[in-house]
Amino acid sequence: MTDLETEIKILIVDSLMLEDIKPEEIASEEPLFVEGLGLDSIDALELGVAIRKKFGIKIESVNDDIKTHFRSVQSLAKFIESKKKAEA
Amino acid sequence: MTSDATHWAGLRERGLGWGLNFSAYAYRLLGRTGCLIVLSPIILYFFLSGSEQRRASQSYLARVLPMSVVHRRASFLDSYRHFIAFAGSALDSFAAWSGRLSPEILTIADDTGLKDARGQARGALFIVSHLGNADVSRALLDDATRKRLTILVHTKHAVRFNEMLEQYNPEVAVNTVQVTDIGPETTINLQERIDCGEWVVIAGDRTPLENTERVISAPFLGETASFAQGPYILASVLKCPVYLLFCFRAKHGYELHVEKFSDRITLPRQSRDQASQTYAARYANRLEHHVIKHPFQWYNFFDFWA
Repeated sequence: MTDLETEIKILIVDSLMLEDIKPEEIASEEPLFVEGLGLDSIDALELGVAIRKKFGIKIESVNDDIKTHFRSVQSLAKFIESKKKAEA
Repeated sequence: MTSDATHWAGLRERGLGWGLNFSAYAYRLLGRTGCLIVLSPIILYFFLSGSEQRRASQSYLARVLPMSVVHRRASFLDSYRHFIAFAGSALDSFAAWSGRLSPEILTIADDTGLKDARGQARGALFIVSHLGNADVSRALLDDATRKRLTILVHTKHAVRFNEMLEQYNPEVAVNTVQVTDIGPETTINLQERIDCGEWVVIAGDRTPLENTERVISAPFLGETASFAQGPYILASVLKCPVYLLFCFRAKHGYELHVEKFSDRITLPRQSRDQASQTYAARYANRLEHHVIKHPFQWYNFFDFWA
């Protein structure tokens, strides 16, 4: 598990105020929405804003990729890394 | 195809400029009442031919009038009066956009809400409605306030209309953002605006065309009606204060009402639907409070209780 994945897990628990779950209990490959962690569309909005703020990356365009990127902690980490490289 | 589209858009643009010039001229020449008299055959035509809108108006008036300040049963003619009020309101919008209305005609009914919003470190969310004419207020507000506004609209047409308006009269232009669904991108964009102190404006009395899941019901004028859940979701994610804005036509000009709705809207995960329902019911309650005072200024000409 990478440091970035740990950071994302902490961010998920903190920004969504998940009371009954600890960051280390989230598996990196586990789906975040509906099944798995069971987050909903409002959580997706909260998380998007939190990621934007924490990592300073821009999520500008409206596209379906967003759903793929937000699928799991792993896919989020990949997304953030590629965004950071692109902006660096 | 492309040239056709450009051509068509160009025509529309000229059409709007011409229409605004013409109504500005008519407004100056005839005054508001004079314009309405000249327009009365057209209003009558829409009244007689628009059976769906007329029925919506009649069923709405049958509900509201006995509860309202008018306090009587609705007649057929009341519906015509309702249509005239709408035409008058559209006329006022045109006059305001063309710069014909003096800002002095706007009075602020109670400035606590507006002062409160101006005193916020960050921006705020404003819920407007199709009760009264919020469009007029945006044209009559001072420059600094108008520059803070970002209006959420449902269609591309509305965005385009605003661009045309800006070309015609930059002084009444405001930012618009098209939202079909509130996704992360839109939210982040709005979050940035709120952080910069902007005021985001969204309508609370129209339900989304596409996303039918985000609709909640609340009692309104004695029966359950559908309201959009979007404003409350947005407010909870933006974590900003929420105000309601109404602008009513009064005897001489317009009256602005800004009231604080909530310091912070929260929709806890376990009870999102119940929580947003509570907010929608409160909104419907405020809407009702105002609509019974201004029954003819309700500009939703569709079956609101469908």
